[in-house]
Amino acid sequence: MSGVFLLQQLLNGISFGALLFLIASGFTLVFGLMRISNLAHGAFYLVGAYLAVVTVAATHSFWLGLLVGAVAAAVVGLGLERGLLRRVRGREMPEVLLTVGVLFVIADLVLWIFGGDPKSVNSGNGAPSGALVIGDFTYPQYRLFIIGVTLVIGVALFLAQRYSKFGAIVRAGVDNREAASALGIDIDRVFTWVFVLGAALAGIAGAIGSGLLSLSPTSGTEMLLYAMVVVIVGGLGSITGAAVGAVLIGLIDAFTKVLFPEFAYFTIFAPMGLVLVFRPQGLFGRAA
Amino acid sequence: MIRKISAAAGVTLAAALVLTACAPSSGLSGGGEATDGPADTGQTFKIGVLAPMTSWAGAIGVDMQQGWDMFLADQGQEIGSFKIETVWEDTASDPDTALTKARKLVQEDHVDLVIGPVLASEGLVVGDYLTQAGVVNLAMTAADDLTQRLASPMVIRTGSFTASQMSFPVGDWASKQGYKTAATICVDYAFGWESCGGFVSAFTAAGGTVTNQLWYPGDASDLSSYVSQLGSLDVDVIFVGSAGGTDSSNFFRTASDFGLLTKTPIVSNCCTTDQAILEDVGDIALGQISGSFYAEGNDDPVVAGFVEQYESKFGVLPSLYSFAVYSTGQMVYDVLGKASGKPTGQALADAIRGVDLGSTIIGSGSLDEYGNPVGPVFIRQVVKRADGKLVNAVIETYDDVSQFWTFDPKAYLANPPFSQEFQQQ
Amino acid sequence: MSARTAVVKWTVIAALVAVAFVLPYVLGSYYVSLLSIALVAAILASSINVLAGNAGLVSLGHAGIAAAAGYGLAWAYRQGWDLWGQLGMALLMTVVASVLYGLISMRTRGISFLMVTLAAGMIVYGIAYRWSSVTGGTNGLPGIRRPAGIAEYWQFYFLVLLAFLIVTIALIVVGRSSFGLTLKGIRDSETRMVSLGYNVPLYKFGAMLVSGAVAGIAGVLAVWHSEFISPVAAGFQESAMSMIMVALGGIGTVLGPLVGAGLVVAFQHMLSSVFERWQTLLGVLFILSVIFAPQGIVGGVSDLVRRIRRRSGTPPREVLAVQFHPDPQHRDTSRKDK
Repeated sequence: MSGVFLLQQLLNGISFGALLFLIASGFTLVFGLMRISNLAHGAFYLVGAYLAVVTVAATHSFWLGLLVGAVAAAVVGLGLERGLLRRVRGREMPEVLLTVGVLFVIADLVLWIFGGDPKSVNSGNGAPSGALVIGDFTYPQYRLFIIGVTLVIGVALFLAQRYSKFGAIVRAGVDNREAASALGIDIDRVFTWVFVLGAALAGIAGAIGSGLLSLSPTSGTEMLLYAMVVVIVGGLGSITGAAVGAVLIGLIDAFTKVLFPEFAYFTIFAPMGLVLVFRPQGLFGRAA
Repeated sequence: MIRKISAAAGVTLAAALVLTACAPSSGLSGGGEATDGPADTGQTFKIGVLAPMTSWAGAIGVDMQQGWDMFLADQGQEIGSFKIETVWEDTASDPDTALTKARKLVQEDHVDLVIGPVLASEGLVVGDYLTQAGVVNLAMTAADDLTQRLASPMVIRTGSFTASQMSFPVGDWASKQGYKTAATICVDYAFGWESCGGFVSAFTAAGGTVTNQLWYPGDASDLSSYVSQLGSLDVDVIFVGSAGGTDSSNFFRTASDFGLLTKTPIVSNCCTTDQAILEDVGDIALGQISGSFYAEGNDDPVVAGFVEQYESKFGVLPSLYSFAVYSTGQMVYDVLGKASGKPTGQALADAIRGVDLGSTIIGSGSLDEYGNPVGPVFIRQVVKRADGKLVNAVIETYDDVSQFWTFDPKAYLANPPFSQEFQQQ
Repeated sequence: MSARTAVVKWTVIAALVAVAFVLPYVLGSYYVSLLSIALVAAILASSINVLAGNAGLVSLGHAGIAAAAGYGLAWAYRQGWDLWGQLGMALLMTVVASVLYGLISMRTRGISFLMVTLAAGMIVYGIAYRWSSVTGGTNGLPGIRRPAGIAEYWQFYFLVLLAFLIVTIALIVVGRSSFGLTLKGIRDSETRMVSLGYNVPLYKFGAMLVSGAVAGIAGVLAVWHSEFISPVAAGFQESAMSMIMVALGGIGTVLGPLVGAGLVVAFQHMLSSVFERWQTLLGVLFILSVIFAPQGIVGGVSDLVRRIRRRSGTPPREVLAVQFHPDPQHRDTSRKDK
C-alpha cells in the first residue's frame, strides 16, 4: 500500500466523517438542551438538500443553494417547534413520537414533489470542484472543502457554546432548567432558537452532503441513522463527542472497506455495538 | 381477578378449539384462489400490475404507469375482442407488501394475469405465490433464478433479461477490445453477484483475466474508499455492476472526482448508466459503455418511434421500466389478438411462451423453455443528442443472447447460483 | 368494578371473540389473510406494549427480535429440519436477540432506551443484510412453507387468532403479577424502587425477555404468513410502524395494539390501493393523535366512557398519567445524576 493511497484513504475517512459531524451536530445540540431525540432531523436534511438542488440548478450558485437549504430547513424546524412540539413540551415520549410522524410525512411528500430518481447538487457553481493534484497525489477539492466548512462550523459551535452569552444561557438551561427560568431567562425562546439552529445545521448538511452523496427520498432516514450512530458513539448531547465519534466512524469505514472488505457493512454498526456494551453513555457522555 | 381471567380464558380457548375443529368446510378449503372468481364476465381481460410507487423505488412505479398508459392508449384500451382492465397495486418497495397485494389481485380482483413486480426480492416471493395460485406472472425482475433454478410454468420474464444475461456480452465485448485484465466492483447482493458473474464468466471464457473483485454494501454510503482502491490497480478495464439509483450516481461522481474515469476504461451493467443516472450526473458520464436489452438512443425505427412518442407525451425519455412494461403489453397483445375464448392459467402461459419477440419493441428473439427471453443485448455508449440530452446509443448488437450465454444449460444449472465465491461458469 | 359493568364487559369481550372466530366463514380469503396480517402485527405491537405500558420503556427496535426468530425458523426450514427443529431454532434466536437487547438496554430509560433499542434493531438489520450466505441477503429466504394443519389460509388465521388471544391474556396476567407491579413501580419512580432494594436493571432485563418472547412468536407467524423473510423485516421502518401502532392504539391498554395494528394495516394495504399518499395521511393521523389523544384511541375512548359514567359514581382513572406526565421529581433526578 503506497503512501499516496494511504493518505487518500485517510482523507476519505475524514471527509466522510466531516459530513457525519455536520449531520450529527444539530441532533446532539438539540438533545443536549431540550432532551428531545429529534427523529425529524432526517427530514430537515431532506428539506435542505432538495431545496439546495433545485436552487443551484436554477441559479447556478452553490452558495445561494446552501443558504436556501439552510433557511428552508430552519423554517420547517421553526414550524415544528412552535406548531407541534410546544404542545407536548416536557413530555419525553410524545415529543419523540411527534418527530417520527413528521419524518414519515416529509419523506413521503418529498417523494411526491421531487420524485424518486437520484438527485444531487451540481458540482462547481462557485463551490470547489475538480481535483487537487500535487505530484502523484490527487484528491477531489470538494471533499477538502467539506472538511474545511465542517471545521469552521464545528469550531464556531464550540466557541459559541463556551464563550458567548447565548452559549452561557444554553448551558444554564442544560444544567438546570428551573434555575435558569428563575433567573428571568425565557427558556422557551432559547429552546426555539436552539431547535431552529439544529434544523439549519441539518439543512446545511443536506445542501453540502448532496454534492457528495446523491439524494433520494430515503436519504433522510439513512442520514438520521448515521447521526444517531455518531451521537451514541460520541455521547448524547456532546458536541465534542459528535466530532470525535464522526471522524472515528469515518476512518473506521474507510479503512475497513480496504483492509477487511468482508466487514464493510458493519463499519458503522460494530463501533456502536461495542460502545453500547462497554461504555453505554458514549465516549464523551456523562454517566447516566 | 387473575383467577377470573384464567377461567374466562379457559372457556374462550375451549370454545375456540371446538370451533376451529369444525372449520374445514369444502367452501373454505376448496379454491379460494383464482379459479372460482367471476373471471368470465363478458370479454373483460383483467390485468394486475405490481409496481413500487412509494418508498425508495417509487420512481419506477411512475415510469411503469406511464409506459402502460401509453400502451393501452395505443390499443384504444382494447385488444382483439377483449376490453382491458388494469388494477394497479403499490408494493411500497417491500416484498411482504408485494405478496399481500398479489393475494389481493388474485383473490379479490380475480385478475387474469399479473405484471411485475420489479425488485428481485419481491419477484421471487410473488412468483412463488402466483405459481401456487395458478395465475400467470409476467415478471419484470432480473433475478437469475426466477427462470433458472426456481423456474415455474406460470412465471415468464417478459419485462427484463436476467442480470447475468445482460453482462455476458459486456465481458465478451471488453475482451474483443483487447483488454486482458479486469477488475470489478459490484453491489454486494444477488443482483451484483449475478451482474459481475456474467461479466467475469464471459470475459474469462474469451481469454481475459479478472484480477480483483470489490463488493460494496448496497446502501447509499460513501464509495470513495472503493474508488481509491480501483485507482491504485493496474488493470486494462473496470466492470461496474450496480443496481442503479444513488449508488450509480455516487460511483460516477466519485470516479470523476478522483480522476478514475480518465485513467482506466470503465464498462458497466444495464442499470449503471440508466437514464435517471445520466440526468443526475450529467456530462461526466459521456462515453460510458454498458450492456442492456434496451437503449433509449437506439436508432432502430421501431424503438426510435417508441421513444419519440413517449417523449412527446410525457416530456421525459422512457426508462428501462417504461420500455419493459410496454413490450410486456405487446406480448399480451400478441396472444389476446389471436385468441377466440379467453385464455387463462396454463393455457395463457403457454401461449405467451410462443410469442415472437420480433413483434415487440425488444426487436427479435423468442422465449426459452424456462420462460426467459432469448434476444438482443446492446452494447451502448452514452452520447449527447442534438438537443443536448444524454442517451445510451447502440454501438454493437449481440443477437439471440441466452440466459446461459454459450454455456450448456444443464451444466449451468448444476452449478450454484452466482455469489461472491462463485463467479465463473 | 360493579357486578353489572363486569357482566357488560365480559359479554362484549365474548361477543368480539365469537365474531373473530366466525369471520373466516363470512369474508373472502384475501380479507382473512389481511386479518391474519393485522393480528400478527398486533402481537408484535403487544410485545412493545408490555414494555411501554408496564415499565414505561418504548422500543424502536423490536422488529429486530421478531426478524431474528423468523430467520431462525426460515434457516432451519431450508436446512431440512423438522418442525420442532425449526421452532427450536426460532426459540434459540429469540432468546439470543432478547438477551442482547436486554443487556444493552437494561441500564437505560426513556429516550436512551428508545435509542439503544433502535441501535440494536439496526445491528440485526445489518447482519440480515450482509451475512448473505446464511440470510440470502436482500433477496431473503423464499419458499418457507407452513406445516400441514395450518397450510390453508383459514387454518392459519385460527392459529394466529389463538396466538393473539393467548398472548393477550398472558400479558394481562404478567401485568397484574408482582413482577408487573414492580415494573410499574420502576416506571413511576426508579429512584424509589432502587432505594427499596429492587434490582432495577434485572427487572428491566426480565421484562425484555418476556417482551422478546412475544416478539419471537410474531416473527415466526410473520414468516409462516408470507412464507418468506428478508432484511426489511428487521428494518427501522418496520420497528417504527410497530411503535406507531402501539402509540396510536394506546400505550398500556389491552386493546391498543390490536386497534393500532388494524388501523395501520388498513392504511398500508387497503387505503394504498386508492390513495397513493397513504403514508402522509398515516403520519398526519399519528401526529394528531399524539397531540390530541395522547392516551391513544383506546385510551381516549375509555376516557370518554368513564367521563360519561362519572355520573353513576365510578371514579375516573387516568390511564397513562404517569407515562406522559412524569412527576417533576423524577425528571429532576434524571437531570441531576447525569
